[in-house]
Amino acid sequence: MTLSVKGLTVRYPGVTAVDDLSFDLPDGGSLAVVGESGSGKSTTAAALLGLHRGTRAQVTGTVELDGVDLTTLPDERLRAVRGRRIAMVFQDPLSALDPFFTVGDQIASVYRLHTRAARRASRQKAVEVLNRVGIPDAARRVRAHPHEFSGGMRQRALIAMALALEPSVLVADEPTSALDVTVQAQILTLLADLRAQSGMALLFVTHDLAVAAQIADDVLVMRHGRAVERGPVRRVLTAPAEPYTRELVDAVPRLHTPRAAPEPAAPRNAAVTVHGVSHHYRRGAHALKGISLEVREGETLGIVGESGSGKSTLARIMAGLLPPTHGRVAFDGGPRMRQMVFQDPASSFNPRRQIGASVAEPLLTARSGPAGDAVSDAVGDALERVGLGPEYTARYPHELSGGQRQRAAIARALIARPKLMICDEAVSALDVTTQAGILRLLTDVQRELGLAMVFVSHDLAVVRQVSDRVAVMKDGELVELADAETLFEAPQHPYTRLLLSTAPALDGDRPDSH
Amino acid sequence: MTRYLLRRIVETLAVLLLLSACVYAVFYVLPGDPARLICGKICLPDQLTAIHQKLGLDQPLWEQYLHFLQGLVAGRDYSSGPSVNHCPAPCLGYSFQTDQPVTGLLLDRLPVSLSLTLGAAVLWLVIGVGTGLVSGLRPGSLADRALTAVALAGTATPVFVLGLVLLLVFCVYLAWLPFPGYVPLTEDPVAWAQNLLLPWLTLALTTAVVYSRLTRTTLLEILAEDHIRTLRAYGVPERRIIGRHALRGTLTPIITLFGLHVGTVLGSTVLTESLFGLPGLGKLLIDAVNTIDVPVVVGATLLSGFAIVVGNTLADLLYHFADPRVHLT
Repeated sequence: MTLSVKGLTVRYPGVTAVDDLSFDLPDGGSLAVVGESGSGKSTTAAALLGLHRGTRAQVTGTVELDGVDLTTLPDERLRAVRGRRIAMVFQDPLSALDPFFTVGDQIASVYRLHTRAARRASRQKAVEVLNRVGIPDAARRVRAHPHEFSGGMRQRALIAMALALEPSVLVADEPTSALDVTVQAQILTLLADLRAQSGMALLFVTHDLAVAAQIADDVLVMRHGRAVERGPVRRVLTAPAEPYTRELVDAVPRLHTPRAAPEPAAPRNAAVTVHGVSHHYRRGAHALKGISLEVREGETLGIVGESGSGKSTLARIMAGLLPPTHGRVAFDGGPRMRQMVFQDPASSFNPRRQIGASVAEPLLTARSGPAGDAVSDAVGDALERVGLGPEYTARYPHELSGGQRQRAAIARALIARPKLMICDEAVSALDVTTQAGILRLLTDVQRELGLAMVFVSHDLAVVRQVSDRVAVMKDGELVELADAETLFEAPQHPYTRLLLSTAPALDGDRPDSH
Repeated sequence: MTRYLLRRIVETLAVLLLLSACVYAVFYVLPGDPARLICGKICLPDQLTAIHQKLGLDQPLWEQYLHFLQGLVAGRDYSSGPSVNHCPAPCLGYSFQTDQPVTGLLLDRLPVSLSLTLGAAVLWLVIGVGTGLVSGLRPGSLADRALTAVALAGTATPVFVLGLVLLLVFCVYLAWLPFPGYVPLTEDPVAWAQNLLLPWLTLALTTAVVYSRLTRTTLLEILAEDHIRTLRAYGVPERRIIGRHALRGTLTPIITLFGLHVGTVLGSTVLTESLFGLPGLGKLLIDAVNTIDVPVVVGATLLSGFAIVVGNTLADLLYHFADPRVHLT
């Protein structure tokens, strides 16, 4: 038994983040810890390495690594274990490396610290492990600084740092959540390969059940700091024993499940038409190259693409927030008839204003808009429509959960009675159960109001749930545009096929697998 | 790099040009006639006209300014009666009051101001960054709170109060130090430092707080960053995390502040100079303003402005070497 956790409890002042958690991770085993935000999964990962020492957190219980309790180990001895015996890879590869030092320096110095190897040998080791994790031209790239690496390469470099020390356990905390699907697929494959080669055990923390299904043998489902269910990943995800697990599994959007009850779309007028739009930022490469498409009334157009594909730029141009450098956008209606819902509901509201005031804003800026009671009535109606009671009018953004804030953001978009609503990664920051609710809400209001909707996301499965037609973007170009059914079941463009094949999916979800 | 430097030089020249034009304009608008001050109490209209003519004040403002620019670039001749004085480029003209070339006046004062500012800068950097690190490493501790209180008191104390107290304590009661005067470094380095110690302390203690606060905040921010967590997770000792990784990030914003600061302080230490009887640029400038000695004011302003721009450029260059992510464009 490599790692054995018993009764692990982590208390912050006023809140218990992890509550009496026990699990084992055998030699060479792999365990995925899944849960929604606030479930305590990342806190658990950090507690395994004793990273709460010196903070205000109180840790009780035991974390035994090969029979030695790490929670009671003196600082000096724990340091010798960290990295050497149990190493960690973090979520945000962009900030996990020191920007001032070269990648090679950072790997070599950690290696040297634990092995007392010579400088030269350490440097060679850095090149060797960078090679092993698939950094091209490692002998040269070892001298690069982190900002010269892409996100995926930085995550590889961090994995290389762990690999150099050949730890018996690797703890990976959401290591692919900040990466594009194609890059995520590469990192997952890399981790699986390394585990097979080196025999290290892997503890993989993720919010994404599909990723868990792909990487782990066992899964531990957490909620409110407690273990809900634990077992072989296949069994837990296909036949969950606990209602919460079932709820979680059901909420995951499926790539190959058609949109719930799609309405037969009668041919309608175009709400917005994009004519040969190109855009480039100052000094930058082209963000968009000659895009032409239209969104019809009462239709949802999904736009998918990886980071840097230009999908958000296109969304902002369609919303009239950004004038394109070339081409034009035809939209019949005033500026308030185009509304946008953004990714981060926390930062798209003024934290110092009540929700009601923010929601009313689109009405108040109108020259001949309603005033006084008419405004508060409209705010109440809009909030009610998105499933928030009138009592939310007087609340402040920080008093709302992420899902509630996104509902309020939708209310703010709806209040001006727009013809076009553009959602830019509107559910990407939300937990799956919350996400499912928002997706349902978006579908409902769109049906009721006959809106034209543009839904931008990196997540193919989510796009499938809401879209009538889907556009796939890559490097500023529109590579494929088709109705959802065709695009997901019979993709034409190789890039669309690549995206679909790399997107992690829950077991049995992919008809062409097995 | 060469392109960057060229661009910065052009920018510097533009700034200085604008600055000199502003100073000219301001003195034209302000009331008061330098000629009348020179002329004395009993002044005949003829005398006044003669002085006007001699100083060039009879010409329209733009012509005066053009002549000034010409002198700066190519040098110019001053004729007073039969004799002709050639003032070689860069010519900043002659003081209205003392008839001495402004360049000479500035060069006399510059070593004093440089000695005062650079010495004080070293002190405030050491004191400020030092206390900031102590505070930042133990936030909320007794040392942190005590240093915060002292630092606040330091900024809140006016220069002349702090300076007077230091003078009283060290020169009068303890008599450890001579009453300050200026001794050039080249003459006697020990006396130079001895005489400047109190002015340095005065200037440094009132300035260090900014550095202390900045260092504390930056250090705390960096210690909370992800890459520090990575180092901890890989068993890197705390001493090394702070000494090698956190410190480097902490010092980069200090460079920017320091570059701007040294240049700014160089021309604005008039209180300290007056208090300790140091003949520096600040005092020269204030005296010139009071006597409407436009050439001296313009000269001193340009020199101060030049110092600020140069300090800022040096800081940007240093930053480029300190932070690999920064590119000079």
